[in-house]
Amino acid sequence: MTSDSCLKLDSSFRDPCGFIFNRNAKLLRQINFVYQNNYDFFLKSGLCEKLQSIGYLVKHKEVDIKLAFDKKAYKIIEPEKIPFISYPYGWSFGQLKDAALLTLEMEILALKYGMTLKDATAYNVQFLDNKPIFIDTLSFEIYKEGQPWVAYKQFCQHFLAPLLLMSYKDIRLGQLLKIYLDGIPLDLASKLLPFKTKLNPKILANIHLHAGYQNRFSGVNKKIGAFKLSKISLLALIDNLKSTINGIKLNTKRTEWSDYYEKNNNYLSKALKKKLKLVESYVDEIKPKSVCDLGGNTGKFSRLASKKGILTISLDIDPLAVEYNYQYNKQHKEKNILPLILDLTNPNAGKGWNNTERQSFFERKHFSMCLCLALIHHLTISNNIPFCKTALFLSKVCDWLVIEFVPKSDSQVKKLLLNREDIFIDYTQKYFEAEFGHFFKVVKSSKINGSKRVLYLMKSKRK
Amino acid sequence: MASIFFLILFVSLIVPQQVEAYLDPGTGSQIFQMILASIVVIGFFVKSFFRQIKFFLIKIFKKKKSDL
Repeated sequence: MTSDSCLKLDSSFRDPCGFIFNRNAKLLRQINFVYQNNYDFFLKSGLCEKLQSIGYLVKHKEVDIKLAFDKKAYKIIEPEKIPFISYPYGWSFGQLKDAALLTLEMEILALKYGMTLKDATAYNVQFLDNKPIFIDTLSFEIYKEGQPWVAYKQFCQHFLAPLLLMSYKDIRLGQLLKIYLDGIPLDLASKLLPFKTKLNPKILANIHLHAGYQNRFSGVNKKIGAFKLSKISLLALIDNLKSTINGIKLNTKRTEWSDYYEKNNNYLSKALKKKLKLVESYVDEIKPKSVCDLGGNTGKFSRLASKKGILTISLDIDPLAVEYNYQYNKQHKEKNILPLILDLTNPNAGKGWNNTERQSFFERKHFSMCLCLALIHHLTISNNIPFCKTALFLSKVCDWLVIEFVPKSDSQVKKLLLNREDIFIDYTQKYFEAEFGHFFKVVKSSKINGSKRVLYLMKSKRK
Repeated sequence: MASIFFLILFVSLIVPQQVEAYLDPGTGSQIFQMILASIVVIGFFVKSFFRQIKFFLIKIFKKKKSDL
């Protein structure tokens, strides 16, 4: 049955109940016979319909069994396509918190319908129009009276520990999820969290004591029978986790970028309006299918594209700026936009087994257009990345580029050079155009009135 | 209240149950989960009880208002 156009996804191999594969450019999920009873119950109990109707679970349709990858197949389903797959280490605090709450809500509903979640990995959640959505249809199994929640440890590692570290220690600690793909080890979280968290009974229990028990039983060399846990006790545990997660708040001290528009006095409102208009005109002219706003800050320019129905990924290195972006989009019910944390000087690489389980960021999508606004001076001067390196990289990841050149006379560049030697003799508009000219064709350029900056529309020569 | 707690703890801990899952739940995590769940269930009972009273009272007040 396997053919050349049929390929299993590298991220889908851990669960023997099924996997995701590509067949003739269609993304399909094979459900193996081993999962038959659970899948049938999932449908018959009405849980699947309920979760899909309230937007908690990705919709799917059953397709011809002839499309199966191999003979183990009981059913083949085609899930609704998620436009861009994101990973927890790209999410802001609010995104991770919403994903955690969704997972717990799913478990509560599953128990109500006689099922339970057999895993609670954050990778089972994606974002659609700023709402978390569960994507693993095979995560449900029939609940057996008395069984504990097998995913309790995983939930604490994937959600609770990083949220607490971001809240009580430093928002940047969410990036630990890049190293620990199966969630932050609880003993590490326990060591990193401040003492005051031990005075909070919920954190004391779910992190500190939990970590202690893990350590205590890690070297046990004899089989310990699992124990019975009543359904009401299980619901109480989930309720406890839910109120713990709900109680975690973000310390909203402003970071470098999160107040950029408010503090940046380079942009008189007239210049900002002109820039917005120019970027919008470039987007209207090209009509890209997808946009990636590199250094998108709180998403002001990203929304120019997303409001036109264009899939827009709004990236920023600052987790707080991304958090503001996400909360704004949520509050204003914005669609087609996904804010994510990304350090452009060190984009997320391939991770996990064989370095292919989790794809690198730019492997996941080639963008029709990239916005590179008020960014070039940070890359060139703050990070010493020559124009040619930036141009080469950008020409690989997009077809069209909207890029803003910020000259040395601009107060933001002056600020960057204030207390360091100016070694950037090539940082001129002329050299910028020459270096980018190797990889891009300049289609349009326009001065931004009210500032000293220039906005370019360029076309990649690779296209 | 204490007797209820120990009864739940006792019932929760005595009967072995084999868990079949592809995910390793972790021995320490499982044991700790049992203990924690047996404790928080008391608060959960109390919370649910007061919630039911609240709903009951809201229902009565709503009914009275609509009667008026």
